[in-house]
Amino acid sequence: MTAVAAFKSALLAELPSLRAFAISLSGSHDHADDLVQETVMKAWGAHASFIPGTSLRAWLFTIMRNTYFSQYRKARREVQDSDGEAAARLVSAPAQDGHLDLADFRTALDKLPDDQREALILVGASGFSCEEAAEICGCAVGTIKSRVNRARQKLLQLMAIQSAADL
Amino acid sequence: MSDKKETSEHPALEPPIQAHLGDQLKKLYGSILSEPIPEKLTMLLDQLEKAERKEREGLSGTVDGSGDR
Repeated sequence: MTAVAAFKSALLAELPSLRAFAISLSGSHDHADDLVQETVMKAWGAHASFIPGTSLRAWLFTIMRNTYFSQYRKARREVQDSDGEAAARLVSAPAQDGHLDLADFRTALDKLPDDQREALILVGASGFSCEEAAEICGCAVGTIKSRVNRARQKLLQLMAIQSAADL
Repeated sequence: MSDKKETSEHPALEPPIQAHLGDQLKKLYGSILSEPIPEKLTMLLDQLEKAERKEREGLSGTVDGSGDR
């Protein structure tokens, strides 16, 4: 396989993760696909700066979150009012037990400050360590830990969960 | 994710609550991960690959393709 073909197939394999991170960040499928597209183009152009043997996913996520925070965050705010059902649409699993729960969760997640939501998703869903998340976000490990912590507290508050008995 | 050292200004959450939040988050993320990839994204990669190939073929007569001048 040529280097180009190998890089292409590696990027292809990361598309689901990139989309999931993009949707979680931007709260909208439409914006997310634009964000993925732009990330892929930037990554393609910057291929030479990727260090083989390091995590491609972490590298791509870094490009994506920098793109998001420099360009898309504003659009997210503008669209949220008119796109109020985005949260509901995001939960595309068929209706079943726990479905409503998950919609509530999504709504609460969307209300978190961007930096807290990002930290929670990186550590709690994308499977990165706090150290990796810190590198992706360009901040200290302690900052990630405290964002994750605050994110959890805020989620509980938003979902009115006070103790395990409320679950 | 069993980060025992909660270095926080907040009290640590009850383990079942933390597990519940983690579950919900993973379920949500997992449902997005399993969605089909939009064609425009896979097509974009095809286009990028094609363009790069063409560029290399164009260069191969003059340079050995090692990028930097």
